[in-house]
Formats: sequence, structure tokens, C-alpha cells
Amino acid sequence: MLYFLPEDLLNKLLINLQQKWQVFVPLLQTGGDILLEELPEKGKYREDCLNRLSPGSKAVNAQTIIPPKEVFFPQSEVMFKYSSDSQNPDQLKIDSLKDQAQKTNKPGPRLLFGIKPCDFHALKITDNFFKNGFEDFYYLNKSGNSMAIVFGCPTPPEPLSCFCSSTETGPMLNKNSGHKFDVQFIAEEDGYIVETGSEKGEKFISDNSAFFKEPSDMEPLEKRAELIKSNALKNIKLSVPFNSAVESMRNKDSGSAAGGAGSSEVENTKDLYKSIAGRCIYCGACLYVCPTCTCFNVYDNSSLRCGTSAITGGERVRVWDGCVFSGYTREASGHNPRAKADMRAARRYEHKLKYDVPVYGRSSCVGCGRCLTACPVDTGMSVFIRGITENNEK
Amino acid sequence: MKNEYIPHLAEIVSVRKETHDTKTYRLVFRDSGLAGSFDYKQGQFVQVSVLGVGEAPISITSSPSRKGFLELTLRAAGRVTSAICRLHTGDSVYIRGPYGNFFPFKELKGRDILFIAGGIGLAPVRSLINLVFDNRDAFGHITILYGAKTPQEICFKNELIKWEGIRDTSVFTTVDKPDGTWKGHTGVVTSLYDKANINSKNSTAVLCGPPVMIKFAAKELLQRGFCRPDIIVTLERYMKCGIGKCGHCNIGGLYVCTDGPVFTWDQVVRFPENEHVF
Amino acid sequence: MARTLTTCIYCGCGCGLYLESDGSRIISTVPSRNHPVSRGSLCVKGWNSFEFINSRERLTEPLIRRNGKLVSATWEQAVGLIAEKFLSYKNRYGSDSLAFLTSAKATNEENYLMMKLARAVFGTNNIDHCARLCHASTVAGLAATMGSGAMTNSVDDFDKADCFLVTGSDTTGQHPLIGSRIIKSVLDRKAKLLLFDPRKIRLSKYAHLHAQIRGGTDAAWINGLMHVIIRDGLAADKYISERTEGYEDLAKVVKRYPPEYVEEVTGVPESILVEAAHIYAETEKAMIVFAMGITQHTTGVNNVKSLANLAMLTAHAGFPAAGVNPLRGQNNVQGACDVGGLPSVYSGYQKAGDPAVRSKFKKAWGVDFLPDKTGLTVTEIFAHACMGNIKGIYIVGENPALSDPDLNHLKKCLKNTDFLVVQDLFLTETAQYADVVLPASSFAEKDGTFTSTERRVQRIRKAMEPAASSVPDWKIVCSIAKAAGYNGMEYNDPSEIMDEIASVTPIYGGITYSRLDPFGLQWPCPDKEHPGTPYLHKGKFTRGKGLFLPVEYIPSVEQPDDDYPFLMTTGRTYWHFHTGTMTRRTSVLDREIPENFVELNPEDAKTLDVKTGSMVCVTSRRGSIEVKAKVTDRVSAGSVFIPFHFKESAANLLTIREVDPEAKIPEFKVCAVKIEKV
Repeated sequence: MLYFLPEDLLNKLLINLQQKWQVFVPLLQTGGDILLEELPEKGKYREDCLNRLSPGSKAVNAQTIIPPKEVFFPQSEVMFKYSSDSQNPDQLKIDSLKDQAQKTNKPGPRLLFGIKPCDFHALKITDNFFKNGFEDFYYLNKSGNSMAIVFGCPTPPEPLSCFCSSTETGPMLNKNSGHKFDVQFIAEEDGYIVETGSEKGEKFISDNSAFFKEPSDMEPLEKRAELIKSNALKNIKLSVPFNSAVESMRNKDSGSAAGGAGSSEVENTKDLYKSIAGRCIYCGACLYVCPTCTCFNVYDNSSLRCGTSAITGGERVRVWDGCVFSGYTREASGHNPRAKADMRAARRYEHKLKYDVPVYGRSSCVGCGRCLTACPVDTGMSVFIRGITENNEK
Repeated sequence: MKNEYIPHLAEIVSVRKETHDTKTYRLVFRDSGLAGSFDYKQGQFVQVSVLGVGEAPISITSSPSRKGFLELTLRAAGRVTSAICRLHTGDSVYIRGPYGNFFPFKELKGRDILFIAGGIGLAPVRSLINLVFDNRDAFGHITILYGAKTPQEICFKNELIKWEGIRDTSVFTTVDKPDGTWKGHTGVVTSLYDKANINSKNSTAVLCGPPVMIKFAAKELLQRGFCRPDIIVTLERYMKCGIGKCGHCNIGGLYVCTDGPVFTWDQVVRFPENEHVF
Repeated sequence: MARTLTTCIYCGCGCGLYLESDGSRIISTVPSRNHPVSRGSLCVKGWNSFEFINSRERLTEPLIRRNGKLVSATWEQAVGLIAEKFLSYKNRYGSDSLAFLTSAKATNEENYLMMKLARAVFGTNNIDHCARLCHASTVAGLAATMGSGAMTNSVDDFDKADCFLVTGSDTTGQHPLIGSRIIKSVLDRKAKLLLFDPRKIRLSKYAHLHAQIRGGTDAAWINGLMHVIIRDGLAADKYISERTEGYEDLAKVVKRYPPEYVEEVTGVPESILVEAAHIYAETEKAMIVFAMGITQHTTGVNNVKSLANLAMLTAHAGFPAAGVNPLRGQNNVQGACDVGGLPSVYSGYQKAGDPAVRSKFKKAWGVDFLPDKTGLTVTEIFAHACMGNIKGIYIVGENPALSDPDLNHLKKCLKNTDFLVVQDLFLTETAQYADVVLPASSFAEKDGTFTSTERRVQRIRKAMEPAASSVPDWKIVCSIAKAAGYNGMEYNDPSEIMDEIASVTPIYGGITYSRLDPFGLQWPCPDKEHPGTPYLHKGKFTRGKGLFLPVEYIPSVEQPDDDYPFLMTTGRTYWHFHTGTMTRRTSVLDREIPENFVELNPEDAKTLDVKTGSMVCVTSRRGSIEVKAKVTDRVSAGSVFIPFHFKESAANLLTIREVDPEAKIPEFKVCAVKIEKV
């Protein structure tokens, strides 16, 4: 179904949504950058945030620097705390989990308001990843019952490094293309066409019916939405031969024992990995900003008795990690199965374009382009895809 | 929802010194409910925490057929294992698991089994060895080839002698660098193949040890007629979570922690980095 | 999930980043895409710069040493004790029995207050900081030749230059976001990289030519370049006659450095030297980039003067994308110098010996006396403490017990200091010697400004409340001044301190907080309308005419000999910063390089029968450490390299205390060692 939300009701809607949800919105920051933040519950600060709302301001159609995965999987988070046993001070014990949960858990399911279609696709992948097999308590605890309100991209955000039409993850969600979503906002001059894609989405509308106008005549709204969507597709600036890259990765085995080794195609791919590794400065940005990268490190952050090395308590913390670092795979013995830089360069591309395909039924690259934007030496997925497909043509 | 990352208190009930830097710990969970319900299979591992220091994956070395406790053998190599090696009877650690897949058992019934282990690599294999011996009649000939750097670095000395006494079992031990007292075999573990008269017929090989040992041991087994699916290895890999989330142990599309640590050689050769895994 | 725009705490690049606070912890770091330096990127240290803030090893309360042990105390007790002790030393032994080490990690406002505390409150010029150990030679050398001791270009110029002459800078390791621009310029724009470095570094792989010079021979190869330039008629005659003076003296000296002789001294083949001279001289947009490899020598000032000579000889100063560019190592080492954390100058490099300057500051600060005698430098302060002349030292955010040369001697000095105050985030190696330890707040817990290597004065902003009972450095300094009876140091907010700095500091004259949003201003910025200065010496040099100051090659003090046959050089790695107080408390960084190593050439390794991973004992005339060998051709035969991050095997136990006579910078880059297999 399609509905209409007038521009001047957007902020009121957000305030209303806070009754049920913890609302996360993209906000314009001091440096002109866009980042997701939780909308404060009340007060002057909330007013300030609403004024900095990115989807509300038509002038700003920028991407959040960090994808929405951070709402459920922050860069660092405390897993649990431990302290000295009151009876036996030399023994550390894990603090009561109930007490810890009460302190950290904020009420209300999370609503991601104003995320881009590519990021929406990425969330499906991370949801899936953290749910599959053993459940990841920390992610699922935050993502449980959450919902995303997607804002379609009428024009690609600056800087122009995204390529969602190639990955079929945008610029707008389309039921016809098999996209499954709850609610999508499509910006117009004086408001938003609101498209629902599920029962959950319909419920969202009915829960907030005071804000949404159901059109008396559906047809013009449908036409307008279609026109915006087709224009959005025309506005795409960057496209890459994504599917043929995925296809070629799938058929290629970089290992020496099984198939294809020594062929010119495999050698070219190896050269490509080498040239990427040759530029890489190991900042980890491509992994940190990737909406589907989920690797983490775990460490104990301990307090010491003053001037000694005796531990009096602390916390176990997890923090984003990445396969580009050599310590990421180095074993205690010193042996490192991915000791070489080009093997580490390969890892990211092979994971996204090859190994994840059978797991999720699609590549886990959603075409957001952040890896290129954040790379200090201008390497990223689109550059790699061009490289590997050009290789194949050679 | 269960929080799989929270470990449970376990007490060290005994410590046995294997070598100068390797010890075997016997652990019992403090929580009696958990002590009763903790169930594991041969070849699985647990995540062991020393609070304030960190957590490390350690293979279970005891056999699931022997109930009521858990045995872990570890060498002081990294920060966590070194911290554990400083602990004594009566001290505690935190444990979660068991994790990972396990060695086949039923599938091996009626077959000969060739165990090849190097150094502390005997620990995970020992879990299966003792399980097999606790069901001795179900298996054919058992051969155990064990290599250590020096005579001082031989783990499970008494058990090696005990296993030798079990019927239809041959045990061969070798060291790389003998000392004056060493009367046994000298050389890498593959140099025992002839002596042990190994035979690929109706036989499964189970390997664990340093990467370079596995590489050569498996290569020579293939030359002697073993087919890839009949060579089973258990791998070590740096990991943080043990449950397929942290990503560190990911090889190609597989996680060593959940898809392994036990793999057939057939799987191993398909690893994208197989030339570097060993 | 509130976000705060601030400036990175690590190197001098000055990247803009957002810190995210959950109320009690900083949970993430995000680069700003709009920031002119970071442009959406950070290095791995920057990306992880939030972690040490949350460390549970942070100092939580003031500590006072009682009966040999540091025990907790209140702020009143600690500050009261410091004021009492310092006043009593001042009264009994005179002002110059006190010394103050300010911090290149602290803000401009805090550094300014430290010099005000030293000069106005306690009446001494004994104030210095770690710039002494990094770019003291630059400040002296460039001030003498050009009139301003700072980077002449901007970071953006790295995208425009067509030639980089990089020497003594492991740029990708120490200034990663500048290093990455060099990589891109070379690979994508075909700019030429001329590398003069004793070690193979990451940049070697992109270099058009890499002259693997013998350590400590810089003046020789630079003179050699100039010899070739003059010989082959490549000197910029018009520029020289219009904008410089002293050319004849230079020409006379460099005449004595023909390529054959230079090859003999430096090991640089004649053909390489000639080619480098031609490329550098013939490229219009050519930038010289240098760091500690040039400055940390007993001839540091000479080396810098020599580079300035080279740039002026070829008209490579005073233009965009052509200049002399010292890369400053600490986030605010430029600022700490700018605002007067030095024994000879007040803020804006106004000379302490100049009566007019002193009378201006007397008036501004409301005091009758300000000292005129140049104070002691870092290296001298400790030597004097050892001799008993310095009684009280107040160290803010520095860790000399790991960063200074000849640590065995340094530790003796610290022990010998009557009353040592250390203010830091952690109980550092230095703090362990202190009589009073003060817990300072981190950069995430306060407001202020840092000045980056490109002279960009930019804001840091408070992202959360100070951890535990820690207090921002500026507030601590003010409370000590007040306790010592001085009433001229009361501020509600760091912006008021900046207003005061602007009122007395011409180069910062136009700087106020409201003008610094979002990404700061580049000094000189003399008035409120001035837009800032992207490159220095436009039209004419700051000192008027550029002055050629020819220098002769003088060998390093300690040369390898039969007893100590290896030349040892120290430095850093990409993953760690300085003495590791922050990076070694950051899980991903410490995991990457958890322990120290010595780089050893394969040839030497063979002779010593060691492999990568073998333990070796490295010994100099001053000390000895055990460390793991790393066999690599990054160092040439006869040379070894050890990073100085690691307290477990501190490289500075081996280094030499000899200093440059002018800048007093120690020769960290060259000493002689022997190596034995353990």
C-alpha cells in the first residue's frame, strides 16, 4: 500500500514513535558529516537533533559514515564484568548478570529510521549471521523486534562511490524485484510517499494513522512513486559488472591443490591481490565501515591494585576486528596461516564475493561503496570488481 | 536467550606435569547441575578463561566415556595458556563449551586406526584413543605413532606405556633430538611408517600436531595408498569466540570452530590457503 | 550515542574524528569525511583511539609517596603539597631550582598555562618538552635560514607535488595519512619519490630511487646534491639573487663535496646522487619531507639547515607544493612549541631574552618579574637534577623513563630529584619515580586546541565527563598556580585561555574558538579577518631574505668499532606510538606487535648464527637488553634497528646522551652496539 506523509509532520511522527521505539536517525554532525544517533527522549537536545535530521533536510542526501550495523554491533561493547570475590579477594568472579543487564538494557525495541536500501539489505545479512548456529546474545538482544524505515535514494549520495544498481540493492526497494521490506519512504517536494511491503509495515501505518494520509485515489500516487523510482535508477552514476565478478570468483579457486591453479586467470587474480596489498596501509577502514563485516576481537580490560599487577576487577570487551591485520590469524605458536599481505587482501574479496554467496543466496557486498570512501589509498570493492572483470577479458 | 559467551566456574581438582612447560589439568564444574549435564564428544574443545587475562580455545583430552570431569592439556605458549599454567589444584578457571565437531566414532568401528601425533598434538587425539580403548572390541588394529622434539618433551608418558600393553595395539615413539638416555627411535614421525608397517587397507589415520608435521605425515600417507577421506586431522587456529562469530578462524567458507576442528584431508585440500595452513 | 567532533591524539597529521560516548565510555571512533586531512580515513591507531580512554588502568585519584609507597590522596592534599614544596625550593634555592616539562600531547591552552606557571608563578625559564627530542633541530635550523620553524606547506600539497624528497621519515608508519597521499601520488599521478634513508621502509617500494645512506652522514649527501646542482647549472639564480643571501659561502662549502667523495662517506652511488639532484632541481613542485632521521643527531641543526639550503638553492620554498616539510610526530608538538613550551621563547617564538617581550608579558600576566636567562632543556634538566641543582620537577604527560636516551643515567636522575611530580593518564614508567602523581583527563574529556604539523590550529571537544577523579590538565595547572598564591590564572573555559594566547601571540592573533569550527585555521593568522596561511614564505621569507647557512659533514659521536661493531638506530613502528602508554593498551594494536624486536641483516644474522625469533643480547657502552631477532634486509649489513616502544626491553637503555650543541637534541639515531646470541 501507498500512503502520504506531509513534510511538516515528519518530526511529529518521530516524537510519536518514541512512545514505542528507541528511535535511531541519521543526524548532521558538527563537521557536516552524517552519523546515526539515538533520538533523545525529550528536551532541548531533542529539538536540536530534529533540526539536524538528515532525511528531513532535502539538501542533505548523504550516507552515514558508519553503516547501521553499529546500532546492534557497536565498535566496542562490554560483554560482562568481573570483580574480586568478597570472600576470597584473590579469586575473580563474574558479576551477577542480572544486575549488569539492568544497567545496560534500555527499554523499547529499536527503530532505524531513514536508512538506505543498501544498508537495509546488509542488515538482513548481519541479522542472519548473528542468528545462524549459535545465537549472538549481544547483537540479538539489541536487534530483537527492531524495524527499519528505509529511505529510498532519489540520487546517489556524495561522494559517488556506491553502486547499488549493480548489486541490485537499490537505489529504491522494489517489491517487483523481490525486495522484502516493511516500510519505505520516497521523498517528494512537500512530503513522502510511504510504501509498505509487509503486514508489519501496515501495522506501523495503522499505529500511527494520524500522520499518514491514505489517498482517495491510489493511482496518481503509484505513478508518482514509479516515476521517482525510475528516475532514481537513471541517476545512478557508478555501475560495475558485479554479477560477472561474482560469477568469476565462484568459478575460481585460488588454492593450488584444486582446480584452476596456474591458469592465467588465477595468476591475474593473484596479481590483483598483490597490487591491492601493495597499496594497503592496514588501517582496517574497509572492514570497519563495511555494513556486512562482523569480525571482532575480545579482550579483558582490567583494573590493577595501585602500583602492582594484581587484578582487582574488570570487564570483558569485544571490539571490531578485521582480516587485514596479520595478528588476526597469528597463532600463539607464531605460525600464521595468512602471513602474507596479498592473502589478507584476498580474504575480504573472496569472503564477500565468493564464500558468502551460497550462505546468503547473494554476495554480502551490497554496493554501498563505503570501503572506497574510507580507503586512504583509494582501493575498494568497485575498484576490485573492475580489476577482476577486466582481467577476465584479457 | 542464552548468552553463549558467559563462561562457568570450574575448579582444578588435579594437575599433572607432562613436560617442563606442559600440564594436564583435571577440572570439575562448581555448579553441580552443570557438572552433571556437561556432555562432550571426542575431539571437541572448550573456551577457557582466566578472568583479567583472557580466553583461549583448548581441546578436551579426556575421553567422553570417563564421566564426571574434564581434562585439558596445555602448553604455556600465549598469554592465557601461560596464566593457566601458573594455576594449582584448588584454583579456578572459567569454562564454556563444548564446541566444534568431533572425531568420527561409530564410522570407525571395525576398522584399523592409525593415530599420528606430534608434541602436545597427542592431547586432542588422546580423547579418541581412550574412547576407542574403552570400546576395544569394536575396532581392528590400533597403531599410535608419536613424535616429540626431545625425550623430555614427551607427553602422557605413562599412558603411552599403558596403551602399548593393550591387545592388538602398537605404539611407537620417536624424538627429533635424542639425549644420552634415549634408547628409542630417532627422527621425524614419518620415519616410523616403515617400522610400524602401516597399511592403508580398511584403515583410518587420525592426525594432530604442528603444521609442518601434518603436512609431511599426510603427504606420505597419500603416497602409501591412503585416500583423502580416510585421513582425518584436527586443526588449531587462532579464535576468540568458539561459536562461529568472531571470524578469526574462518578458512574459505568454513569456520574451524564450528565446521571443525576435525576435518578430512579431502576438505583440507580445498582450503583456499591450504599451502599456508601447514 | 552522542557524537563529538574532535582531533586525533596520535601523530601530527591532525585528523578529524568523531568520538561516540554512551555516557560512561567512549565506544567508537569515526573519521570525518569533510575534514581536510582525514577525508573519511584514519590509520589503524586513529580508528582505535577510543580504547585506551576506557582502560581500567587509568589513574583514578591523586597519589602521594609516603614511606616509599604511592598512596591515595585528595586533590587538595596533592596540589597543596606541590605548591608548598615548589615555593620552599624557590625561596631556598632560587627559581632555577625548579623545572617544568610540558606536554606535546596536551592542548595549546595547557601548554601556554604551563609556561605561565613556570615563568610568571615560579620565575624560571626552565620549561621544555619532548620537542627537544624530536624537532628542536628543525625549529632552530629553519628559524635561522627561513625565519619560521614549521612545515612550509600543507597536507593538501601532497596531492599536488610532482616530486618528494623524503629523508629520515618512515612516513607510512608515522604519518600514515600523509604517507598514503605519497603512495597515491606516486602510483596514480606518477610523482617521483626520492628516498634517502638507511633502512628499507614501506616507501622504498614506491621510490623512483632509494639511496640507502649510511646513518649519520646526512650533511654529506645533501651537500653532494647541492654540489651537483651548482656544477650542472641547475641552481635557481634569479630566485637566489632576489630572495636569499649568503649564496657565495654555500657555493664555497659544497664545492668540497663532489659525488665521488660523497659516495665514499655516505655509500650513495654517484649515479644515484646525480639523478636525484637533477630530478629534484628540475621539478617545479618538489617537496622535501623529513623527520627524526634528520633531526635526532648531534648534527641535527646542521642537517636541517642543509635541507633548507637545498630548497632555497632550487627555488623550492615559498610556493604551494614546494617547500621544506618537517613532519611533527606528536598530535600537538607544533602547538606546544608555538605557545612557548620552550626555555628560550614565549608563545609565538618571542624571545625570552628580549626586554620588550618580557615587559609585554609582565603587563599581560600582572607580574613584576620575568626571568631573562634562557632556561634548561629536557636533557639539561635531568643532568642538573642528577647534580642536585634542580630540586623539583613537574612533568605533564611525558614519559622520559622510556623516551629519553641513556635510561640508566636518566633513572638515576629521576631518583636523585628531591621532589618529582608526574601528571598522566597512567602510572607510567616515569610516574613510578614520582613523589606526587596526578590523574589527568584524556583528550576525550576536555576542550581545547591542538596544532597539527601543517600549522592547523583545531579544536578538541569534550565527549564525556572526566574518568574517575581525573581532572583536565589546564584545571590542575590553574589550581597549582592558585595554591602558590597567584591569582592571574582563573578561567571558566579553555576558550578564555585561547583569547589570552591570541592577545599576546602575533601568529595566533586571529584565533578564537568561534573561528575554529569546524576544522580550524592555519597559522600565521595575525588578525580576526585573516583566513590563515596554507603555505609559508609567500613572496618573501619570514626572516626577510632566506639565509644560506652552509654546513660541513661531521661524523656521529659514537662510531662502530671492534668492541661495538654495529650501528644501532631507533625509531617506531606503524602499530605503536612512542612509549606505548596508549597503543599497548589497545587490544588490536598490541596484538599486532606484542613484543620488541631487533632488525638484523641476513648477512649479520648468519655470522651471529641467529634466526628470526632467536633471543639476542644487544649491548652498548651504556646498557644491555635482551630482544628477539628479526632477520630482514630492511637494514643493511652492519646496522640494526630497534623500536623504542617497549618497556620490557627499552631501546633507550642503549642510546647515547650526546646532544647537538645548539638544539640540545640527543643522537637517538646513531650509537654503537654489540650483539650476542643468548
